[in-house]
Amino acid sequence: MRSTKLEVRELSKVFRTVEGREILALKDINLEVLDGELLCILGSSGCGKSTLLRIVAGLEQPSAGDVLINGRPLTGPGPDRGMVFQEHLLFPWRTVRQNVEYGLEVKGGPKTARAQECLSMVGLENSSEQYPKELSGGMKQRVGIARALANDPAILLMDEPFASVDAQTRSDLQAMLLTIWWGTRKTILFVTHSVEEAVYLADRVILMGSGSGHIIDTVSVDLPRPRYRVSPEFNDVRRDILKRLGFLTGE
Amino acid sequence: MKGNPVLGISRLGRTVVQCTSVAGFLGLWEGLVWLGLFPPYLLPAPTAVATTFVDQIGNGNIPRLLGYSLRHYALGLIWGVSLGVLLGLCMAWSRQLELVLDPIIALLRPIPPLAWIPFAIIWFGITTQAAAFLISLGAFYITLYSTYGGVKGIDWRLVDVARTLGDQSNWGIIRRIVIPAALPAILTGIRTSLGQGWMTVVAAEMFGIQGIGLKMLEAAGLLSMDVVMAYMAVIGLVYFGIDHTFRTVEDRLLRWR
Ligand SMILES: Nc1ncnc2c1ncn2[C@@H]1O[C@H](COP(=O)(O)OP(=O)(O)OP(=O)(O)O)[C@@H](O)[C@H]1O
Ligand SMILES: [Mg+2]
Repeated sequence: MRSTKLEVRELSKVFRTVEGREILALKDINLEVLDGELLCILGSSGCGKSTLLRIVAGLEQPSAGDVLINGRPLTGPGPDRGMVFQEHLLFPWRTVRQNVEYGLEVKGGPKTARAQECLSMVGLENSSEQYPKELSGGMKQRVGIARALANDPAILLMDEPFASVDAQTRSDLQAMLLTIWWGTRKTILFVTHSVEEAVYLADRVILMGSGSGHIIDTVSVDLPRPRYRVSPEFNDVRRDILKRLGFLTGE
Repeated sequence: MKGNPVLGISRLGRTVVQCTSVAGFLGLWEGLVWLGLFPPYLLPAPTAVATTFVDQIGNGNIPRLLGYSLRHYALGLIWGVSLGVLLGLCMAWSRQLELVLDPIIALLRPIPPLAWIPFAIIWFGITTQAAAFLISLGAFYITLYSTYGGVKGIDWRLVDVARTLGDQSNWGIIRRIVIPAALPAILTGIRTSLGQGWMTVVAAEMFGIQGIGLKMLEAAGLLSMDVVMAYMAVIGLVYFGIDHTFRTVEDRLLRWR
């Protein structure tokens, strides 16, 4: 039996706007993520996916409920959880290598060898001295992933990292992520709004209702890897998810 | 050779035009003086200025007086820029400090540095410190506001990124995120201070502090306008060098942009 890595209990988040209006971004979220599991969180824009990830990262305080990591309550951001952001957010004044070295620099101690190792994992060992402005969108996301990996976090939080690249690059990046996941056995929380991406990557998919901030369903994806996006089994899972999300009601 | 698509003139062509233009200007000026249209005490000829310039270097006046002026300039800039950057950072970082300091600075800032001359003289006497104080005032306000604006305008999401990478302390975030992110604005402030400070040096020295400014005032009193103009040339040339050097450093520091 694999142990529970991350547990979210009765989590709610209310934002107060400047005019004093209250926005319920997350409502009664319960979640249990196993050690080494690749969990996708699927939902349309504004359903609270980023908020959930930011709370787990420790960047945002929950309004109610708890987040437990290895059974211990969360106290703030920490190097045990790496995050890859929706808009790559590289440090523009640092080269690729220096971006990846950031976390190692904070920790102190040797950094160049580890940074180089992480850059190889994402296939960028030959671009280490370039500045972010010189990279393509896909390369920037690779650097973002290498930067998050450098601290060797047990949990990787990924917020729609592949949403803004072309289809070919996206499928390359997805394959790369699976290779890294396989090699490092990290627990991954992967946010996406693409059903196909979720079915391709996930062990389990959490479905969030549009605009409601709560989990409406959970789907296990029991397909063997590598998965083929055009196989009938793949399409069955996809159709099942779409149905649960309330599309395809006519069928 | 590639032509400039806008002006239709090549790079070399433009240099030729620029040189001709300057030579023509100097020639016209020389001619006017030579024809006796202006007496030399109203407008010295370029050749006379050049001769005086060389003389003043030869007799050691220019190196010595320029040395004094650069000393005032450097001291004033070091104090003004460091305090300005430091306080600008603190004000942008801490809301409380911002609330307390903002009205005081808003009150003092409209007073131009040179209006402080009487106080500078009472407080410091006719000394290097007095000149440095006046120069530091301008540099202080300029770098304070550019740093403050630069820090306020940084992409704060990068701070979130740093925190997820384990950077928890304020000092770590300031050093590794805030300062590099605000560096373009800080450097612009420093460059503006370099110009404003150089103007203040000349003006401040005219109140009796040894340096280029005082020398110009003395020479003007003797109607040696060729000397005055030779020092005007020194002021222009030195500032050109300073600004050019700083731009080179700036480009190098900001090559990531
Ligand atoms: N700092 C904030 N202040 C106020 N409201 C916020 C804040 N952050 C998020 N919200 C609101 O919370 C809700 C959920 O936002 P969130 O960014 O988590 O959505 P998302 O699922 O990530 O959407 P997307 O797919 O577009 O990234 C939205 O209605 C948003 O307006
Ligand atoms: Mg989002």
